[in-house]
Amino acid sequence: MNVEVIDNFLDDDSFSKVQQFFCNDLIDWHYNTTVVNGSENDSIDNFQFIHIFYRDGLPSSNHYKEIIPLLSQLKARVLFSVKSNLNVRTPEIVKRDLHIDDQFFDADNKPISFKVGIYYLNDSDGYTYFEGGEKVQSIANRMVIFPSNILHAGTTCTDQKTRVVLNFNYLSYE
Amino acid sequence: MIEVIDDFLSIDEWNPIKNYLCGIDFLWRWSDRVNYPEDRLCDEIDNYQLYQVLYDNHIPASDDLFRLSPIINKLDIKSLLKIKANLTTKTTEIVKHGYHYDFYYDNSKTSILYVNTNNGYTEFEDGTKVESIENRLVTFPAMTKHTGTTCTNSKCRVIVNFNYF
Repeated sequence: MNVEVIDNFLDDDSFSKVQQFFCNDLIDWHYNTTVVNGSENDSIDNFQFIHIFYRDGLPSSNHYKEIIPLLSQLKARVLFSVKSNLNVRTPEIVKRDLHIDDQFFDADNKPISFKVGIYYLNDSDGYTYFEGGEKVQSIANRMVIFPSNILHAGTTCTDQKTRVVLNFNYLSYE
Repeated sequence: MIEVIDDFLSIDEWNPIKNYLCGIDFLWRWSDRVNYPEDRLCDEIDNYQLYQVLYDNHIPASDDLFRLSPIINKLDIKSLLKIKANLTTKTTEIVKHGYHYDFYYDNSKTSILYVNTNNGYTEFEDGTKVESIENRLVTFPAMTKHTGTTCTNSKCRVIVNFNYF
């Protein structure tokens, strides 16, 4: 499977600034009563907090500048969406439903293939898992990149108060 | 004296406020603690909540304050100290965060408005418990130690805390 894992994605100084921003009380979170759009999962654990940085062709957050180092490092040329997710601790790991991210269409109404990047803001025992069963553990300053057509999902964590990730849907220069 | 008022607002006033506070448009900030260490009753890993300060230091801290006008108008407030919304997420067992005062001003009051119904509650040092029933308001002297809890039967517990004279 075409899943690329990059550890130490940002240099120490940049990472420290980004982590400080996300893991303190500097960012506004929206309470979302579902984790995967369109899912019929009615579990009491099916909620998370989100912050949308970019959608519908424009930055949508006053905090957009905080993610510029990540966009530079990703060599992102075209953005479709950038969103941060915060999941609170659960007693057992809760696996979210496998899904592909939102689809985007070109002028001929054909679906656009893009890249998905998931960046882990903190260490935890949560992870991203893929349709084939592969897992990528949540290690702070790790980026995992894969094609948009691969089914994937996140989890909660049990060993930290929260698991915080950034999700990028984008096309790169390369 | 602890005073409980159910159906504090009319349904027409209440529903838009509840839907907004429990909806995706309301903004929450992460807080890594609910109580100061000396007051904390829970494990450190449970010591967190999300919040939004709506009024503090004699100025509105958020445009969302004005959505709460029907509540503020009904509270007979002479001077506002602070208004803050709190959200705690579901836990497996009820977690009691720790007894505290919000403010140390004699004669000031604390009111807590319960936004959603769940099995969390406010507990006072004398053992009195006030259950979280939506559109219920509990009012007590600010110098009354109290603690909130999490809930186990809803995704989250949402309240709004008013401190005022």
